[in-house]
Amino acid sequence: MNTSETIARGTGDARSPKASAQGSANSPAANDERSVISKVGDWVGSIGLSVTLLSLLLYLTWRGTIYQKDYGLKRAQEIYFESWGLLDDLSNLPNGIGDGIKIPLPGAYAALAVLFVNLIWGGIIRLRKRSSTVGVLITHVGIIVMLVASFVKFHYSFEGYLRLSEGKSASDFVSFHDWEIAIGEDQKNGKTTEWIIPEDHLLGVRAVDTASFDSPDLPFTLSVSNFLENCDIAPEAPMVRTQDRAVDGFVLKKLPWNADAEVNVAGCVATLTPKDGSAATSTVLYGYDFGSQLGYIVGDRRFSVELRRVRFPLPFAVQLDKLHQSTHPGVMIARDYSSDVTRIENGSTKSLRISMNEPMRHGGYIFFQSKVSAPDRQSDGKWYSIFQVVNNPSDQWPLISCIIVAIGLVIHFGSKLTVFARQQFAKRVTA
Amino acid sequence: MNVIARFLTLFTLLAASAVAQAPVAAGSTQKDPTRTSPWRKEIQDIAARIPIQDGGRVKPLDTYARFKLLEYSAYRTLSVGEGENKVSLSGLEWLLDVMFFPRQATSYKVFLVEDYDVLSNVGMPLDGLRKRDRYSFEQLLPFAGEIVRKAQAIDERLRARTVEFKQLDPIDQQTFNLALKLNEFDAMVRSFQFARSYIDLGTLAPTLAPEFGDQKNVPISAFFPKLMEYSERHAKLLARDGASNPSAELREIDFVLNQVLSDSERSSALHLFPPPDGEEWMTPGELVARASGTTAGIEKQVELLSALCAVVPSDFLPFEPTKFAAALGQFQSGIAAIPMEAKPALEASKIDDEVRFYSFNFFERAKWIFFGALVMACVLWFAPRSKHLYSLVWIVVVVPLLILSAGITMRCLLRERPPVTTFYETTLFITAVAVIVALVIEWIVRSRIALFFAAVIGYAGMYLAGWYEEVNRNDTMPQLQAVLDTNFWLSTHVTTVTIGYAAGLLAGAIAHAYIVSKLFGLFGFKRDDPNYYRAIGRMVYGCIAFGLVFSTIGTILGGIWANDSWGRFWGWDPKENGALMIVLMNLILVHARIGGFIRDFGLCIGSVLLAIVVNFSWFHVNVLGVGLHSYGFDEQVQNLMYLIYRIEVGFIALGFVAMVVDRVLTQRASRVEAVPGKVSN
Repeated sequence: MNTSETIARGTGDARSPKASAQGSANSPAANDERSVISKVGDWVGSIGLSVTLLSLLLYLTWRGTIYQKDYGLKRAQEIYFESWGLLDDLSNLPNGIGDGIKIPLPGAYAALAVLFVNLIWGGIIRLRKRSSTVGVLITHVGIIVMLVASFVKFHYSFEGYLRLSEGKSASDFVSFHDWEIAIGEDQKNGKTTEWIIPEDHLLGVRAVDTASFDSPDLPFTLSVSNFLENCDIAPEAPMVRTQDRAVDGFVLKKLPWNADAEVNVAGCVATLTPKDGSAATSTVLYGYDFGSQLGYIVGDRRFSVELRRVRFPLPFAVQLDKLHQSTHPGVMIARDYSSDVTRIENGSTKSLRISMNEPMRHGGYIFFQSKVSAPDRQSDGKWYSIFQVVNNPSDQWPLISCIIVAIGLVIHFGSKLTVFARQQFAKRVTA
Repeated sequence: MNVIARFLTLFTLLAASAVAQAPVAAGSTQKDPTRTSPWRKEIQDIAARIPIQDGGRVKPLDTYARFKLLEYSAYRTLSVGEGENKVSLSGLEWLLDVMFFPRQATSYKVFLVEDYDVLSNVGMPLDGLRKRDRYSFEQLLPFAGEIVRKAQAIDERLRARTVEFKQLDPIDQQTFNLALKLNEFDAMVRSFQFARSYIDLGTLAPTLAPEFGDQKNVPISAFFPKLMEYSERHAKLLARDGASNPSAELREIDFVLNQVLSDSERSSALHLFPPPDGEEWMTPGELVARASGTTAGIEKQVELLSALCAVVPSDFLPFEPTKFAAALGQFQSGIAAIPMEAKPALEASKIDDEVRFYSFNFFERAKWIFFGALVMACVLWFAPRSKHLYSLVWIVVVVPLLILSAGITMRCLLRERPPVTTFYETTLFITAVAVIVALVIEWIVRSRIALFFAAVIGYAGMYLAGWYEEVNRNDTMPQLQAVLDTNFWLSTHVTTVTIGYAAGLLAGAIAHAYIVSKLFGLFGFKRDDPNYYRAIGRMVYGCIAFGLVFSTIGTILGGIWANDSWGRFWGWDPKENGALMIVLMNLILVHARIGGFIRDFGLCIGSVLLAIVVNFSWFHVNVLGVGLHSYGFDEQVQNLMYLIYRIEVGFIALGFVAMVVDRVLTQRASRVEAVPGKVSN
């Protein structure tokens, strides 16, 4: 299949007798147009573009890796690996060799998107289908499966962690570093209705200083100001800087972004303005584990406002029955972490063990034994088991991709090697 | 490194240094003799096989001694004495001195101080000192108190989490580590110090004297079997007499128990005794303390300790090698024969195998034979038609390869693990794979180039392994973290991706031959031999293709493992990124070659860049200090990396220069050929 045929079929014009007639009428405009489309098609599916994109990805991977050292993984991902474009600041290169240099570049997301098209067009559709290219074709299919898996993972998966001490259970888990403000109303049936303000909206507060959130079901308007991604809370005191705004006797002190993103604790000032015109109430919301809820009562309705890590509900509950942890004798090297859990779903229970390298997969969720953490007051002196929880629709697709790629590469390079070796031995015999 | 846990006992050194300038003689009546003759081979053979628990596993005392000496001094052997009396001690001989001739051992210059600012900070005059030097325990002891005080201040900062260890000033890091080593060494020299203590029963405990045949001075070890009985008698007498009006017998028993326990408690370094329950082996001090409560389950251990203590040399008991060897032999076989239910059960055969493994010195032998092969391969360049020499080089490359492979296999058997589980093992495995691939290429192509590089890589890889061992200074068979405790993934992902590293490095190495040849080609070398260059280009391409297969599959397998372990296929961890960069570089070269953007010359220049990428992925990402694969290497590794980058970038630059000049010369030559008239002059 040659390029011009492919383009013609794609546009549909060439098959039309009229179009064909027009095309054969030596119309310079039509020829030029087809030539441009043809050239674009050639370029999109070209090996030159592949090499360019692969080189760009190599560079971005290297830069993102170096960047992590100073600014942490989360920022590196946002700037280099998940972006459409970036202004690459080279000032963090060793010995100051890149000081003051900034290069505009496409991000890895953009590069992968174009590579996907390039691979489909040039590596599948336009690839000459011969016995010698079977391996290449299979490999390209495997890589496409991989790219699709990563796309699905990036857009449709979510993850967080669940921390349980022995005897405790939970039916939700929390994000590692995304925040939300939850306005909860206690219902008479014991349940709680929640209104959620996601982090995207909160991050916008930084730009406008103060943002208001409203719902017709709420008897008040919530205004959020001074949202800080990483901060500390301190009681108002003469030692505290005067420019920090004190609210309700507390001050939020901005801290530099910690490269270990999970360590950052967000905070903000929340103001509730009742719709009945009565006086507004302000407080500081701080996202640390112990929480700082603002309680608010309007008539017989009881509300709470809380800044917390994003919570994801689970369709079942998990209870930690027994935590097992051991180290190698005489040293602090972890030998085994595992948890005996009970999964509770629709009244039925199932006992399981989750351990390192042996996760629990159920209902689209995967529970990994991540680590253990020391006891605190909330756990009655018991150690915590920490599970990483992931919902990833493309969970096992990389395995499929790996198998396809392996088959393709072995076929292609195996046959090449065999041919080459035969030639060499034949030459030697001839000599 | 769990620095805080290791620091817990440091205060004892502070106390020791504050008490006296002679801490090892802090016992009651003992004195230390001096060893005057070398350790007999018979004693060394026995001592080497004594099992000891260290670093979470049971290992031979020989292994422990080797790495302890390396850790302290960065030496594999220790030179002691002056002039004609200068001798070289192996790690085991040094440790035997530490255990049984402690006074002598404290005079050995074994503590490496990288920067003498560490010493000036604690008040040592620097006159005549070198910036990097080794010092004896005796020399450092007057400053031990200050070293420990500084270390304690650092420890407080670490505990408060205001700073991480790797963020500390290098001088603070070294001071802290020196304090830990001094503390540990102090406990090591006291391992059998208590055995030299005697209790004068005639004066201090006459009531108990008849129980020991009316001996006046009774060695402390003689009390070990009676500790439990004395404890019980002590309790009964205390109940009968009361604390305010103790009988003579109660006072004497109380004195003896206190003396025995206080003398032995500082023997806290060597975990020589398997427990009747649990997993943690006991030090002599712990065994004695336990025996004072109950001897149930540890009768054999107590008996063995008593017997060994009975031959520990002192001023009262001269060193008798024959008796000592016999007692040490009984101790070694006795410990090995103690039945153990708890894991890790001691496998005596593995102890013997490990001793044999280190004794044979597989990798050092392989290194020097590879070096011999390298010399011969160089000679082969000047005698290319010599079939005998060619065959000989083949043999001299294959022999160390077999030795290297045998060493790797033995490590696998000892550890019951696949070949690559630690960074050190990657150096061994990559070397072996690269040499094998080079030999396969040579077998197919027969151009001598791959054979030459097999020898080069073999020697360089073995040198690197030895160098890394000296830089890292830790047991190369450590216990694995829980997440790595999976032989399936270690044998699939790690092995596969490491083969990819090997192929990338081999491609880069062979590419150097192309660039160097082209540089010499400017002066006429192989200029009219396109087949020579074509052959190298094919070899490089073959390596890249081979590397692409393994690095791609290995990287994806790593993602699948990560998906099973941490719930994400790809986490942009530096090590993952490094593996991806190798895949990408391979893909770039393969596609650029297929697309005609580069030819053999470009491919070879790109392969040098590939070698840089492999170095970055293999070594450099580990010193970034971030991610799940960070090992916290020494600064030396980072410096080595930068040196390699500079050299390789220089090669690339030279390659470009050679390529441009070569092209100009080729074009000029073709123009000359096109004008025959000009040639005729």
